[in-house]
Amino acid sequence: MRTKVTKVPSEKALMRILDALAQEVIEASDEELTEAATDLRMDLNTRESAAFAGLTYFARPQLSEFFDVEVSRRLQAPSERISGIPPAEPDGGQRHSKRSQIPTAKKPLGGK
Amino acid sequence: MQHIPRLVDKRILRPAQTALALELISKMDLIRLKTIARLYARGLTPEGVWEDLLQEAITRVLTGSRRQPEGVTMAAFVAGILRSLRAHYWRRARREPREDNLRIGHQSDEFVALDLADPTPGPERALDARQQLTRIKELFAKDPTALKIIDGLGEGLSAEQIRLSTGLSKTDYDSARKRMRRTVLREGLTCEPK
Repeated sequence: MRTKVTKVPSEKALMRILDALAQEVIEASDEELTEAATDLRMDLNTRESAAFAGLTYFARPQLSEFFDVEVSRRLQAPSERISGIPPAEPDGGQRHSKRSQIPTAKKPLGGK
Repeated sequence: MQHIPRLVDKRILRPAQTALALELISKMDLIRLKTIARLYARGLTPEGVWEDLLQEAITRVLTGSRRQPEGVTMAAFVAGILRSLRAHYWRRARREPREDNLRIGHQSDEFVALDLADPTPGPERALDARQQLTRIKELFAKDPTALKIIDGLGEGLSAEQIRLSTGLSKTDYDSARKRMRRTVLREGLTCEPK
């Protein structure tokens, strides 16, 4: 019986547990995998089975799977505004002069 | 009706699909690795990062940036990559400098060089880890024996030491580990948030 109690840092304990569980998964037989899938009513013989979500297809539906590029961009714009990421400029990122509003690329040489 | 082209080209295979098509990995091993990726992604943000973690690990195998040691199964090999990726993401998410960046002293002063890396986790990391430990224990909430084993594993005890400290027979211990394995596999097969 152990007499000494030692306090293990939680991060270290977590990694040890994750490693041990990962090892369990590696050692799991194909039958055990199939049984676990059967518990969840998943058929591993079906290509579209939910078991393969995130593997052979995206786990979560992607916006771009349903909409065109432009539509996807417009739908994403509000979330980008919230997250602080500036939306892509429609004219391909051309910069404008703040004073004249003339695109800097088209400004005549030497012009003010 | 106007045809709307999709941005995602289904003809472009994902790394996991490529590995499967090249028979580098079996369908069952992919599911094992999904479970392991979901385990190692615990505590990492954003939600769903396990998918990126796994596809990145497989990409490293496909590109040859990681080489499979002899005698190591593909599942164990990729699991090792997942583990190191987790450590990398964890460091990056917490904006921790790499340990080797914290050395001071001249290269020639090997014996004088002072390593300033602090091995103890900060309070935020410790809290994250504690939350994840709680979530893992919730998976086995209905199985007191499994919870004892989890505690033993966290303390770094071997199977024999856990059996001795908990007073479990070998059969009881093995049965509990089998139940735990099934629970982890079931959790890994789903895509529900952790």
